[in-house]
Amino acid sequence: MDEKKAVAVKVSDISLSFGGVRALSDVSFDVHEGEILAIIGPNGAGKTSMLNCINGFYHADRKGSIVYKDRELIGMKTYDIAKLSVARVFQGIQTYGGMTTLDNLMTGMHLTLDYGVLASFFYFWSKAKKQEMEKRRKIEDIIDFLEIKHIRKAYVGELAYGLRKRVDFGRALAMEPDLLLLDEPMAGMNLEEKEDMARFILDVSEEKQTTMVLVEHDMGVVMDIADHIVVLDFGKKIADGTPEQISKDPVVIAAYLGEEGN
Amino acid sequence: MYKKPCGVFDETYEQDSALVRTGYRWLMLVLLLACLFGVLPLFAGNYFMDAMINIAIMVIAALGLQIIIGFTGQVSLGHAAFMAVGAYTSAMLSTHLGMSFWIAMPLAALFAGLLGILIAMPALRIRGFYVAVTTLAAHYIIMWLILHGGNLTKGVSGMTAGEIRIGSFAFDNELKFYYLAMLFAATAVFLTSNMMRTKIGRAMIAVRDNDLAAEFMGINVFKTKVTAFFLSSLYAGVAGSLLAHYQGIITVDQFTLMDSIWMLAMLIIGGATITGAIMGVVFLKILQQVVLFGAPMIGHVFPIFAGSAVAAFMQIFFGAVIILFLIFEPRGLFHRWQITLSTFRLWPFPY
Ligand SMILES: Nc1ncnc2c1ncn2[C@@H]1O[C@H](COP(=O)(O)OP(=O)(O)OP(=O)(O)O)[C@@H](O)[C@H]1O
Ligand SMILES: [Mg+2]
Repeated sequence: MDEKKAVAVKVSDISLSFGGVRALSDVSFDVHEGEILAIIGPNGAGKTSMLNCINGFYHADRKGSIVYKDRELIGMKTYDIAKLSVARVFQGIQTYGGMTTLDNLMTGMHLTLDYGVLASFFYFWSKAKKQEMEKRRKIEDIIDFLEIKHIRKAYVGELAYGLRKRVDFGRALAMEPDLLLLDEPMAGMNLEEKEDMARFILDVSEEKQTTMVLVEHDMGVVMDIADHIVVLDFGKKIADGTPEQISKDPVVIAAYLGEEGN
Repeated sequence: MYKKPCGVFDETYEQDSALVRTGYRWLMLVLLLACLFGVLPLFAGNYFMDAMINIAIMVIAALGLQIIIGFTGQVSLGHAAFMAVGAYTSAMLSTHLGMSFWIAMPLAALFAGLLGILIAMPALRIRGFYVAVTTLAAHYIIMWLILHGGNLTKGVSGMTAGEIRIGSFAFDNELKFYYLAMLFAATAVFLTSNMMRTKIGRAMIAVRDNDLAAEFMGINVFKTKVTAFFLSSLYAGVAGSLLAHYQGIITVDQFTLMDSIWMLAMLIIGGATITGAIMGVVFLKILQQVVLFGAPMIGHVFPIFAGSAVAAFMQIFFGAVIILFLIFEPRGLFHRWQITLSTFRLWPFPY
């Protein structure tokens, strides 16, 4: 890890509970500019909860803080955090099934389009058309990049699982994010699909230097593409370091072996 | 998946997102418009013109309901009541204040729209069936107010509304009103189609399909629902106002809960698109006519069905049609039509 890189997201002392269940306890870590940080840990460790706190969807205890672009994210609304160019790829299927691939991606551009209801009614004579056409070019680039040209006009609800995940990823890219949160983008995919997805993630990281937080179970993938790994177990951070450090960490090995031993 | 005939490739994005994409479709559209505005009025009698005017008005109302139900995914049961608000507001402005339709109608529509969001706002904050329950309650409150409005609404005796005129020209017969109603309906269809291919329309569908993901992508879910509800009631207001000025008099029993449910049925039959809303309205109106003429004949053959049994028969018949649609064609008439059409257009070279 390049220690000189600036901190993009500073997560400090995040705690979160649902009724009596403690999902996160005093978790702190830094995400550096342009790095791929992986969060790993067994099922129910609190990985998704951590991402949801950054997105402002779960409200972490006020004693902690998440600072990004000089703003405190705790207490902000989810759609306001999106305005800070924070994009999310979801665990499972969360695409818009009744829309085409193209429209799913165009929806990712929602925030960058600046016109109102009246302009939308008078499409031809308003700035709506001009803006839509401009953005359309960028969307087509993403479609080419993700190799989903053949399903541009297909309804996403009718697509196979792997393709829907790809649309989800494309929709996040359409937001032109500075911070991309990926929750198990490769879960349930076959080997070939996983390799494609890993390649896409690396390409985006290299070309746009997008800062990413990746939750992934596949240790092979994580070791390959992550610059930095945070390990959670029962809502607590048990390790934090480079892939090499993590793979040799006795606490991590114990936790994972303990997990498999069950 | 939507397929264009072989050989038709979109040259530019502009072309790709145009409303009417192939020359063939342009031809069909021009033919349809020529038929509606040119040929039909030449041959059709007043009875048919009247039916067409009702269809045109219902298309505007159904489009409004489609925006909130089909596109945004919020079930409203108050649509007939919002139509009544538009109709009565327009009629009152016209009768009590002598206002012209061209001022009364926009005011009535705006009032219906604002009243709509005032009523639905609290329920739109929450997920689930609260909107349906709230609008159901609103229906009864609105109808009660109109019925007990005294001289203002004329209660049970019905409220009059003035003729629509432009200068000295009055839309005072079926033929003249037909053109006006068709123009309104065509404009509504065109504007709604525009909206649905911009960020506003996409935000609505995003909220319908996955409000959670929408929120994460920066869509203000609540604001989107409120906008949709406002437009929905606004359309209802326009339709109500047109109806009032067409008939010259309106009564409360023209806006029942059953009417809201019929509109919902039209959308179920047509499917969740703009064309679907139009098809649903036309299909149900045709069905109504069939029953209207068919039921007395049945009553003739089987005397037990005669008289009041005809009304009951109508309800059962419509109910059955809707259930059949839900079972066999849950995505509506328009979807079926697209499938039929696409096999046709691709024939004989399906690539
Ligand atoms: N909305 C919620 N309501 C109640 N409990 C929740 C909620 N979300 C998460 N939890 C609980 O918080 C804990 C952490 O869940 P989380 O989904 O963050 O785990 P995870 O690490 O993402 O697991 P997985 O690998 O299965 O996705 C679990 O005990 C879970 O049951
Ligand atoms: Mg998870």
